[in-house]
Amino acid sequence: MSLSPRLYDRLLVEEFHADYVACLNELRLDEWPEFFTEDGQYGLWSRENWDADLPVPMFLCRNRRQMMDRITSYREANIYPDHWNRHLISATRIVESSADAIVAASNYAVLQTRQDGESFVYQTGRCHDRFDRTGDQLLLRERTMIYDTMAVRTLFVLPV
Amino acid sequence: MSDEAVHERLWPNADGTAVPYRVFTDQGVFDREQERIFRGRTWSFLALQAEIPETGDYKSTFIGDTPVVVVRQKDGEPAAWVNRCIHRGAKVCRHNRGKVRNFTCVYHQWQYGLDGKLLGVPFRKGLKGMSGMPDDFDMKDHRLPPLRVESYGGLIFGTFSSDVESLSDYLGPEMRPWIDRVFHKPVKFIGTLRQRMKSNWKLYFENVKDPYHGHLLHLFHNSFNIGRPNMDVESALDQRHGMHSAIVAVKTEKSKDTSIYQENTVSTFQDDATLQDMEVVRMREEFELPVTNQIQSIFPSLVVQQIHNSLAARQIVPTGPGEFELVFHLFGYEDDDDELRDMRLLQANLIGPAGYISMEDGEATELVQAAVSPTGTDASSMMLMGHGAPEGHRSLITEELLRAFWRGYRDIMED
Ligand code: FES
Ligand SMILES: [Fe+2]
Repeated sequence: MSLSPRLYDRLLVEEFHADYVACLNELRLDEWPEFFTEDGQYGLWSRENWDADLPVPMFLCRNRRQMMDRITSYREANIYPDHWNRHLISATRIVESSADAIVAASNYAVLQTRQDGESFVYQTGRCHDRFDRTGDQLLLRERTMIYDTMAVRTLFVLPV
Repeated sequence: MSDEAVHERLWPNADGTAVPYRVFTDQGVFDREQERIFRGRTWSFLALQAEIPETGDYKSTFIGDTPVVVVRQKDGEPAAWVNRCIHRGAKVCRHNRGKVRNFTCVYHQWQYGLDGKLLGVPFRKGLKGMSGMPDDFDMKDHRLPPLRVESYGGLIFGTFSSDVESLSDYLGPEMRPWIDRVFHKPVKFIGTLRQRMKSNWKLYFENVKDPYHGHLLHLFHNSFNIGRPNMDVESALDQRHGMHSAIVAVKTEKSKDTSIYQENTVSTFQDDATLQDMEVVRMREEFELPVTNQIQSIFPSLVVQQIHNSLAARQIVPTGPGEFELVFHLFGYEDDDDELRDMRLLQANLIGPAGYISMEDGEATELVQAAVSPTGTDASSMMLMGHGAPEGHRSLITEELLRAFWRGYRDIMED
């Protein structure tokens, strides 16, 4: 029995999410920009701004180099509490699909644990992804995360 | 112990060099602040004019812990009232922002005008001649409690006080020029960033009056060779009560010198780290004075910020002794070209909860809160940097603005 192209695309995207999430959960931050095309964009907007057409992002990288800069800054410059993020991505839908691109939407949640050992819901929201596709290989051209958790707890450090 | 002795122990010095940690944790202190500060003789930030440009545009917000709504009126002026139904206390306006013709409380559908005046009470005359409100009930006698509202620059303020001076006098001659500088032409509101801290609101006020921490806690500029602590720094203090202040850093050539860090062995300085993409720190000169950073605090609820091309009004909303929300209202100018508009969005990365140069502040306030919270702590802080130094206002290494703040705070709370 063969999968319909639609289900096949969804499996591809879900596999991509699994790899992406593993990279972040395991803090392999150097590898994070490699999920994007060279000029790929990664940004987070609060639902409040997004719904009101207000353009201010909470976090925005317009290319891979800017993503690397974030990582360098976390290592060299920024000070923040030790913490672990656990990422959950679910209910992925394929919005558009062609031979060289896929557009998909998913829900996400980030559970965070700090040194005191208590876990809490750090952020929930949805992500809209535009992938470049070469065969079965996907790369993010654009990842737009719209978070419901408008008031960020203390600070936002690691990408989600 | 006599009252005087208790007082002595609480405020070991009158000069603002020592602050009892209890003021960050005590519910009684918090309640007194609501009464004396937030509902007292102060002006609090409500909104940018640009957030509510048209008649009927509103925003719900807070002064201290009191919910208020600020609304653009038919005559074009903003007005504000307490967001609590005069009937039985329900929140009348249930949304953060929007546009309406009038407001209706959902509980029993009492209706209010944009100005907060009572317009309608269902079944006021009763039903089929039965009951209803008493005959002498006149809607004209009732309204949502109004605030005094005044504006300066692009900023709208409100107060519960009928006798506090005008807003312009409250800001004072030392502060107004710095506000004028940032609000020198019509602004465009571009979005909100919110951050919730588990710490006392005054710890944030201390933070924005503390130039000493800047390059020690925030290592971004130093690490990537972007700015230096010996750039020209100026601070301004309002002379009436010392509660407002501005810290302003102006770019100079000599600021490329890194030797001060090497001499003082600041552990965090890295000469070799570089950014691959400098766009986020590229600044376009857009002001007469080449200011790279201006952090101006207007007591008790506002910080006006210019960091490179990133402009914001930060509002401080205390929600309890150990909790506050920080709301960044970001803006540009109406006549921004596309490039500048884009730069302001990218430079949002510098500030807010994920800010390259600000993310540490929330954490720092929480570190203090965690350590001063244990019950029974009657310790106090020690703020002596630059104490008694005549040239303090030209230095980063001073705590004078904090001492002035605490002297003013003590006067308001204790008199
Ligand atoms: S509480 Fe508002 S109408 Fe009754
Ligand atoms: Fe800071």
